[in-house]
Amino acid sequence: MNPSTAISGHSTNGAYFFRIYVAGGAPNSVRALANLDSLCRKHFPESHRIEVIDVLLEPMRALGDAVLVTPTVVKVSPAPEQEIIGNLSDEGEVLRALGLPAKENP
Amino acid sequence: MNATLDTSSARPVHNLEKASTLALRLAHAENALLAFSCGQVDSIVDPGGKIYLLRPAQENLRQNERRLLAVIESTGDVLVVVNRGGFITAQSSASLRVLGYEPAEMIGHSIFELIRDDHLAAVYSAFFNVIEGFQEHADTSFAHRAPDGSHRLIEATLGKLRDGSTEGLVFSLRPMRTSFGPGTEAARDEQVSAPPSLGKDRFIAVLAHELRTPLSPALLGLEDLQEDERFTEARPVLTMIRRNIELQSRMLEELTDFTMVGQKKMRVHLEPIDAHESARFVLEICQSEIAAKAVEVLLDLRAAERFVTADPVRLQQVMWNLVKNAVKFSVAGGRISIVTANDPPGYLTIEVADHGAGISADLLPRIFDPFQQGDLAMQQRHGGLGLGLFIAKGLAEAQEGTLTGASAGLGSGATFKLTLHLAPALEL
Repeated sequence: MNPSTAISGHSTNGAYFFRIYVAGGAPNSVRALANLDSLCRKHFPESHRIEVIDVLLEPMRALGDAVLVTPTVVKVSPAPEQEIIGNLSDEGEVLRALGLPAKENP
Repeated sequence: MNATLDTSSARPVHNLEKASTLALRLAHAENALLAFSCGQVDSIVDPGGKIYLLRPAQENLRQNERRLLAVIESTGDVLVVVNRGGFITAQSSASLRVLGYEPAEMIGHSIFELIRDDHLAAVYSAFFNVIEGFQEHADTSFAHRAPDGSHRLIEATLGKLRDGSTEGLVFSLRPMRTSFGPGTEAARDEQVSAPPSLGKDRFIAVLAHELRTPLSPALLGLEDLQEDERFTEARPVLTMIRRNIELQSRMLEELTDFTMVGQKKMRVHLEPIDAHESARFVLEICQSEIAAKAVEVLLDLRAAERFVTADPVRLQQVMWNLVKNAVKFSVAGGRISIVTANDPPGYLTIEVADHGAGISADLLPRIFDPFQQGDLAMQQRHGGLGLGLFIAKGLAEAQEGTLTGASAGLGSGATFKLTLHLAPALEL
């Protein structure tokens, strides 16, 4: 299996592209991925892509991308690139930190 | 120099880039730290490319902790967690009722501050037995003086805390039925004022061992220095240091033996031994002390049957003690005698006599008690802990023999008589 897994919405070249660094099935990582997925489905159902990078399988990639800890989520697009660390349990805070618009009354 | 001037115009831009990169990295690190402190991080990427997985489910742990604490408090016990040094690091909230202190007041204080002085030894020994792993749990009890001046009797169970990262003890405290004020009859309650003696001895043995451990490497190092030609001038000082370390080591050895004898736990291996040979050997190892005081030794090995049933090492230890004592209490240039006999038949006696300080009639019955060495002045003059005779007697008895002492009084010298069973005739 390819270490990097893409989880996509309807469009594979969506406007919202996230990269999430996880540590295998560690609890915060699993939670962060679930939260990110649900956030994307809720706010950007038409156009998002999530790339999952397991640092246990690709440690050198994590190092190359200057990832310090997991879970780390990087918003690759739309620019500017921004990152957030943690299990993403506070949705409002995540949107704010990544500079994303919240969808009113989804 | 020129290079510095040349780059001065280009530098600000370069520095700005560098600064913003640094700021970004710093922000990342801060975010990571924040997430870390919230328990939301589960692995760390090491600059070497290694991934460190963190222990998961901190939240669950905390929940379990709370539940555990609630269960404990419902039992009515007070739990006090202390570190290796006895300092209180945590405790349950019932402490106000049992100890009279607010829980927060006690954090950082030593648990031993809570215990009345005369009960400290018992609690110390329980503490050491558990923390050193001699016992899983230890029960003890002590009087505690509450802030209101009243004394409370408290029962305690000590157990080792095992949570992997820290080392410490948990005191589980509960009030005993009686509570009393200072000076009342109950304050002298026999039950709490007599510390369990086994625990105390164990404590002393552990302590003596711990105190002795650093001395061996120190002695080895000293020996090297004494042989090193660069320190020729310092040799008298090195010799003095060595003598003192050796003295300390011997005293601690005595303490260890003392507790063994006290507990009647001295292990002996009895076998037929030539007592005369042992006596000669002991004289040899005492030679430097004998020479230093110019003491004359009369050795009269007149016993026809010289094989006794004894432990070779322990027999020498007893004799060494007696000879050393005789030399110690002799005046310079004095005379000591070592005489063996088969009287009564079936036994071998070894009498070690000196013509020195002697023993007063009122002290005589107590010479085999531990920590006895005449008066204080005598103790200071002769050094040591005053355990030698106590140990010697204990060792003699462990070898199924006896040791007695006699003296005609102060200034008349003393005679010690070791009696041992003869070994059954050897079948040759």
